[in-house]
Amino acid sequence: MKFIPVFLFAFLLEANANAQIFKKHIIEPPSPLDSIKISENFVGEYLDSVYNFLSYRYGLKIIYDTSYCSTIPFYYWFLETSASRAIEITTRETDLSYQIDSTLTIYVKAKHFHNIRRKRPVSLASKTDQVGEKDPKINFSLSGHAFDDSTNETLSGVYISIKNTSLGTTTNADGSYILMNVPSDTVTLLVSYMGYVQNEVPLNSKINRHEFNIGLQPDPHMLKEAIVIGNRADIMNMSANTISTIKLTPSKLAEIPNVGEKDVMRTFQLMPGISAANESSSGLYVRGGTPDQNLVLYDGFTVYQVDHLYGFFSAFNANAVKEVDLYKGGFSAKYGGRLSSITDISGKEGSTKQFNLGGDLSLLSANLFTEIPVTENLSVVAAARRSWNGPIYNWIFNSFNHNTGSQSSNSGGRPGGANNVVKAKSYFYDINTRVTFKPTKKDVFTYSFFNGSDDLNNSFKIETPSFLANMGISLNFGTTDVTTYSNTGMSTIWQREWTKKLRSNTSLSYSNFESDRKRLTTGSVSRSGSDTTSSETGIFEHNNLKDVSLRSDYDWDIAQWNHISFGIFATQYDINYTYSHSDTDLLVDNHHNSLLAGGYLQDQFIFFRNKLTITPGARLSYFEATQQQYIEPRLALNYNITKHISFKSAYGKFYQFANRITRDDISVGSSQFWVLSDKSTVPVSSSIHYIAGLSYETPNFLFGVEGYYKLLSDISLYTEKSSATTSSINYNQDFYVGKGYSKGIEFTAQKKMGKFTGWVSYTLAKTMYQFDVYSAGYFPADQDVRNEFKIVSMYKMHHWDFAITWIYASGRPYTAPGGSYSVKLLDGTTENYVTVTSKNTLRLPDYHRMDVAVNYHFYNEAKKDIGYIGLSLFNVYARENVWYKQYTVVDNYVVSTNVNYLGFTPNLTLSLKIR
Amino acid sequence: MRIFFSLAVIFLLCACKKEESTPEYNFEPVVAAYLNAGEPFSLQLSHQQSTSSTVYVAPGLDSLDIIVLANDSSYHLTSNNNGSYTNPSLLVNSGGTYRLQFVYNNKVVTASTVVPQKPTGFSASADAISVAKITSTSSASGFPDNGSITLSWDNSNNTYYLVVIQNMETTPERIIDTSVTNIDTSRTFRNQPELTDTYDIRSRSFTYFGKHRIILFHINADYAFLYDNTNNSSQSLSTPSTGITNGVGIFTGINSDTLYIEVNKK
Repeated sequence: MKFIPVFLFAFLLEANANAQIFKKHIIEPPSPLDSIKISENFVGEYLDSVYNFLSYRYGLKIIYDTSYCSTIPFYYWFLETSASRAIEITTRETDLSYQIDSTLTIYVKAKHFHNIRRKRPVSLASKTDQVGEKDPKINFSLSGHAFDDSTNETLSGVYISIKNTSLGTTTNADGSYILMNVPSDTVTLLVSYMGYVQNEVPLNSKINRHEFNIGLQPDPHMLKEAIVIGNRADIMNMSANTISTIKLTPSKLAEIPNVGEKDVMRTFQLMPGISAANESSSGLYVRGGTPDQNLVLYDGFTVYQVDHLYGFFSAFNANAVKEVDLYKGGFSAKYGGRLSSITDISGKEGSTKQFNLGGDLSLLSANLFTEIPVTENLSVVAAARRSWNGPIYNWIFNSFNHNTGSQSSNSGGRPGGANNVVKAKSYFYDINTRVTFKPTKKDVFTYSFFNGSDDLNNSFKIETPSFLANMGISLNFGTTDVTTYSNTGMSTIWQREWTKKLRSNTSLSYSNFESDRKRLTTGSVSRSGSDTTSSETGIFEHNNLKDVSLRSDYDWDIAQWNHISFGIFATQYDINYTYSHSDTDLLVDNHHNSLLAGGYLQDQFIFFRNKLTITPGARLSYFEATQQQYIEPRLALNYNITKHISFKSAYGKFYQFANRITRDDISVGSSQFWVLSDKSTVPVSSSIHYIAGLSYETPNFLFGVEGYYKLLSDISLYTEKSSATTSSINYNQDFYVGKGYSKGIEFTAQKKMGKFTGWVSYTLAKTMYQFDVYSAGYFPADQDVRNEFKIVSMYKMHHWDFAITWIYASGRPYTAPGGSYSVKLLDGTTENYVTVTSKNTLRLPDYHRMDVAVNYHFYNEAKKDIGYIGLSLFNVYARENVWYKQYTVVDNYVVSTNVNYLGFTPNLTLSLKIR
Repeated sequence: MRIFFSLAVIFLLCACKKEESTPEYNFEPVVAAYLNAGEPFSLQLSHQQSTSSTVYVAPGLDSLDIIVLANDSSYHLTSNNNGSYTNPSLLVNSGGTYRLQFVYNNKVVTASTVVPQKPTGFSASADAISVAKITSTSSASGFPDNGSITLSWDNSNNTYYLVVIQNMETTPERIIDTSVTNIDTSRTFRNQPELTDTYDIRSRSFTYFGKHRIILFHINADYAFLYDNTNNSSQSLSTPSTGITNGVGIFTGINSDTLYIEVNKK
């Protein structure tokens, strides 16, 4: 590709009417350049960077041979050096010569270009007088929006660059961009975005430089082989610009194997640094962090529970999601409130051009979505899905639910046995709606609503055995075992572009997470001609979390080399948690509310033509419950060593104020609830991240390595284990405070283009905790996985997609009984107990699994993909991966039983849409 | 692609080889002592069972010097073999504080408890209840609800009580005929230890006719907590709470009162 600038340069010269032979020394350089004094230190920057830097810093107009200048490193310290002298110095001891024409344009070229005639550059800057710019010498700014050409949806994260340079920018959340100091000879923009055709957009003097909008065509499948050249990876995009960032576009998720649903969170678990061996959690274990240390934002509101069906699916309907950004650590000052990571999900805007309707039907659920263009300025997206009690649902439900066994044995003891057991139904559903209104070119209003719920009903009842029914007796024994949890979130967002350089994003959001657990044993007996008697015993657990948030974020592009982000935020939390036994007092009754408010400021400096980016920032929070202020300094540094190799690093401090607690109680089923930090039992936890990485990226491949070290302080651990003294049983003292660290290194190799794409990643990691209650030393955290290896490979052929994923993870730690003992109780019975060894000293067997998917795509007359039929095979070689171990004492011996994750599970999906 | 497969095969092979190791464990002694007011002090020591198939026998359980500190004095217990220790001269007093101390495996095992006060105001709403015998050919009127007996006692301090009901007959007769199988045939039943001052014994709770002893135990919370320990999953395994340092089990004071009732055949 390097012939292009040379060619361009030659062309420019050719067109100049007065041919001149270049000379290294100009006899009398125009005096204005002598008056410009340069004081800069260049240490090994390539000449093209040097010239570009001098262009925008000193207003010089330099046209140079890119292919040659980008290979010559330059070392010099200019001190009050005149511009003309400086240019001369840059060409010393090189094969370059230079010339300055009457318009003060400096031409730098290789000496072998003698005899080529010059032409005045065809540049936008040369036309600036026509649009009233005051200083035609200075390079111009270009701004506008990027959007999907077929739907008019704005696109964020689109990379817009000036062809054959490293100058470029990425569109913001509202699709807007600004390129400052575009060299005046720019004629072509390169526009690329995953899932879309890469575009070369020609510029000319007639364009509107303040609203230069760029439409992108979705990548039509039939043209994929051709289009894929120069395009970025479809499913995963590991950012070359930001450390530890992964962008994911759900529209391509169907290509990855899935069980029942294409799933955003499950797909992230295939990425390096995110633990994959957690079938019972859709939440992300990022770099040794727990799911509650990962902040999940959906159109600006926080989602507190991301699981459907025991965590096997996430709460996010991929049909309603536009894109997801995952920040694995060292994230910017804009984000806070979590120790580990951020998952930022943006809902689909919807088309303002065409109505669309589509849906998926699988063995697990039905999923329907629509896009309604109400007016040119108003679009609506709605999506809904609901599980149905099909074979896959029941298979997963029964695999993850282990209450059934104990209930059966209870009921077995009753007269007549449990012959007539009737079980209740369970289901999940979720609804997403988003309304986008663009009243002016500068304002976008969005209303987003999300509601999802799980009703996990494991109730059953025993109907009257026949011998008692014959006696006229009606007997009803049963267990009500219902876990319901629901998320409701909504946000109203106002995005405004105050000027081309200043944008704001203001949102008011509400989020509610409610979980209810009721496990009751009811019994009633009625006789003909007599009253009914009944009894009820059991547990009740209720958690209700509400947050109302207001935040306002601002981005200000002061210059091409300086971007400022700042904002303010306030969240009011209200959390209730109660836990009670049916016939005793409330055991736990927590009610906390608190205000969290603050602001942040971040300043990004870009030096040496995008080579070096330094982003310091700070976040300040005030938490009402502790009445303290918390300051979180952040720093990110990127250095593009060459065009292909870049170094990235980040440092940051992070605080967390709301914590999710998991009550792992297999006898009655696990449940989760949230608590707020306070002054006494649950302190505000904090972490410090140190991250550094190196990546080598070509159009076809990406090779990356990233290392991290995280220090955790004041983390809380909840244990079901209650304590007893001679006078009381205390259920409130179950929070232990400790510390920990997590460190690791991630290796990734990705093939981004062609028929065959995919990636291989390996993570070596260690996560250790120290809690005085367990030991004075460090022990492996529950989520500690030492080695993780993942292969994701996809192959496209005409109408077909094939994909294989393979995951290997070394076993997670667990605590085992060391022995057992029995105590004779006062009623004459004997109770068995187990005692434990040190915390987490043993490891479960290694986890590994292979999934396979095959999809056949349908195309309409315009050769556009309108759906597919897919077969997905989960755990194809039926590996018995151990979830946990269950212990029972039989004849004074402890018998251990493995409780396994899901075995081989096939699924069929049909997905169709109008367009 | 070949590299990917090679790596995959290598990892698969590695994955299959790993085995779990057994942790080393230093067993602590199991103490079982109910300090029943008015009775001589007695204590049972035992050892824990190993999780492996090898039977673990704790050495020297019968040759320990066990000291009880009470009433500002110290008492030595005498071994009766099989881990049983007593001191007939040390009578347990209501409200008394008792401390246990001995050395086992080079560690000092200690425990402490307070003996609760004797229950007061313990009464039953009736001293007899009539229940019809149930056979597989019984009429509808024979089963199952024949009212209940309500027990009550004073509990102004909101402490834990346990009710245990035992059939006292030497040759008891079952209420549900022996032709009906698959039912609980134990002669003792109890309530869940609670912070309460009343308990309803439903007629269908009884399995046998005849004389029944109802013992109301005034207990400490650590004993009530023994009934609350049923979680045996590796996800949340922990040693049961115990007031014993360097040991496991129970060392707790109890006090009781007793009533008798008759279950008559209707």
